[in-house]
Amino acid sequence: MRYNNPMLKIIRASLILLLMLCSQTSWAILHLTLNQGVDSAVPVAVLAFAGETADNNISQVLSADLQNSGRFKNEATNNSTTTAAMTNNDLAHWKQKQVNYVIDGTVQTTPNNQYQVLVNVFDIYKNTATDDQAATPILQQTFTIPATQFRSLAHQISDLVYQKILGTRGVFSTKIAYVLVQNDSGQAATYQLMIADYDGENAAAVLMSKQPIMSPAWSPNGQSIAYVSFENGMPAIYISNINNGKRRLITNFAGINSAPSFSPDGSKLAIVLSRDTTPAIYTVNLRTGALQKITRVNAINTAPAWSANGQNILFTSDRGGTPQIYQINIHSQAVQRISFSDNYNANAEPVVGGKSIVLLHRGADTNNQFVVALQNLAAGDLSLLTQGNAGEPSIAPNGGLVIYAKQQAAGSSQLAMVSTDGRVQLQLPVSNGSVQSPAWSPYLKPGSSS
Amino acid sequence: MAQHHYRQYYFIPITLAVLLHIALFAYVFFALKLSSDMTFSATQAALTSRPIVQAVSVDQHSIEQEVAKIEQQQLAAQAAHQKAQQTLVAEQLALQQQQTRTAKAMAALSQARQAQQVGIKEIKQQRLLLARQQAEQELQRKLYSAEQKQQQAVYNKQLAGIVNKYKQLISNAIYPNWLVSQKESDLATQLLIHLSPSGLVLNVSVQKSSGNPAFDRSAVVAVYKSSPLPVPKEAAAFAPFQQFKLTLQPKNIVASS
Repeated sequence: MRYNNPMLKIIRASLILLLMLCSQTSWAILHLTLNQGVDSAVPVAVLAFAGETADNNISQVLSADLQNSGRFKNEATNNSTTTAAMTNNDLAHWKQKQVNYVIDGTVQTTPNNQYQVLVNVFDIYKNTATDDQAATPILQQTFTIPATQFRSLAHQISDLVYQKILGTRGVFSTKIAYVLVQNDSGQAATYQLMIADYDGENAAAVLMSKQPIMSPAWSPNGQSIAYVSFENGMPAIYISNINNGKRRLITNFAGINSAPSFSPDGSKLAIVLSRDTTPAIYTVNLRTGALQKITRVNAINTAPAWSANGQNILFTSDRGGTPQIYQINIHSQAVQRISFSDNYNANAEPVVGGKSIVLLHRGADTNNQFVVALQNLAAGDLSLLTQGNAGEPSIAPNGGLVIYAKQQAAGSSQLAMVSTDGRVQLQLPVSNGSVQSPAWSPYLKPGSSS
Repeated sequence: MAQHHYRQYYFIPITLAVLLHIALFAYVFFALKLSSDMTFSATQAALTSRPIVQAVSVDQHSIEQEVAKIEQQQLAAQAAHQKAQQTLVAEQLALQQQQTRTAKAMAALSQARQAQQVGIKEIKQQRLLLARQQAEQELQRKLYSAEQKQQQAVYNKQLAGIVNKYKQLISNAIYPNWLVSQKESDLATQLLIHLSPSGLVLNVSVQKSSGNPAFDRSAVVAVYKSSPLPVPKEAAAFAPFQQFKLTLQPKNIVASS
């Protein structure tokens, strides 16, 4: 009765409408931003594969691989076994356990001594399964392999899972090369060039010598290893094909021939020669044999490592009084000092991505012990990754893990691994002898595109 | 209320008119009564003013003649008197009629005037009332409009406050479940999230991919894993969360404990 004026009614109605429209449009664009995440291992459950035995314990290798990477933690208990299907109840169970992914599978032995392996990866939080319907895996694959290759298949499965969940390549199918020194009392020392799985398993010698073998380095295609051998009494640099054992002498100049490193395209080797009184960095063209002297400062220059673009070489020099990391452009020969912390930084390798390097560091902050450290190139700060005395580090091709020889109480050194975030410290299977100069291989198989 | 007003306004003129009528009637009544008394007394006076003691020593005939003459004269006088009286009555009546007519006219006039005055007053009153009412309405409208605006503003503010609070709560709920690596700090992914009124995550879809499917999935899993998300209970405050965008970029990566 109060608002019986039709004009007022219209004005009022349109006002309300306008208000509603305004608020509607403001709601439609609600946009939240989240700029904080947690750098933490992804909780997964690796279930025992149905049908697997102690001889083909794929799930055990898979679980170890994922946890070794530092990016996963396995929340499955020993009695968690693959069931016929991932049901609604299973999903609820794993949700309750706060597990993000469940990996299960089956192993079947065929009459001709082959294994047929099925693997499933379930995204627990994406899946919805009704009682009469099984959840759909985000990854499902079947393999048939000779029984002898079950470990390498397990690593391959680890790579697939890693890639699927994290989006970057895993290094579980890569290898490490190292020198094993056996020096039993009363006997002459033996030196073996060894190649093993990344986890130290399946170790096999590719070269054996009564004289020192040093500094193995992988070719970019993973088919060859360059190394220093004293087999003729004097140091010489060789390249061996690891598939057919063929070897080739590269340099045997008077004086030091050491620290070979393949250029990213595999056409050159950076080496250290002391033809002109002090050790200097050279490159040698592997096709023509042409030598090029890179460093010209009269000091010790050693341990070359190529940048990813093949234009620069990181090296260690004592030109400033103490061993420090420098970088030189192979064309302009312009030099830049990289490391400044304390009085010892050596044996640098670039980490994939180019933002940091790993190196061997010693200083007041390490009680004068040699430790593996990660240097952020932009900030210049060092993160110390290991404790105790370490040998020179070698970085995995995905930049996530570092392998090094760790000095044991008895005096010998053993293979050890650390993740570049320092979270995972791992002692690899102990070798009968002392390990020196481990080198991580590049990726050996074409990566999956997913 | 208005009717009561009108009754008040009519009451006085009507009362006055009735009283006037009574007064006029009384006047006319008394006036008539007075004049008939007067006529009667005048006749009486006329009768008494003529002595009738002259009949001594007069012959019968002449007496009779004289008596007849007197009687005739008396009759004539009586007739004249009657005629005069009749004229007077007629005049009186005429006067009375005239008076009544005048009174009536006056009453009518007065009534009319009064009525007119009442009418004017009433119209004035009505106009005033209407103006007042309109002013009141205008004020009310302004007040209402201002009040509504203010209420809406307050409401919107409250709503925005609630929405902001829950935006923060939702972010706080999701981030501990978002597992990322330092290497991913440059990546960003935009999700579209559908929630039930209880905060249950109904659906999460990638709107703008980071280009890294696994990174996108880590964000999607974080949202699902945080279900149910905290949401406002009020429908209006919940409405924006029914479907909203969430951009995730791990600029700040917290080390796990």
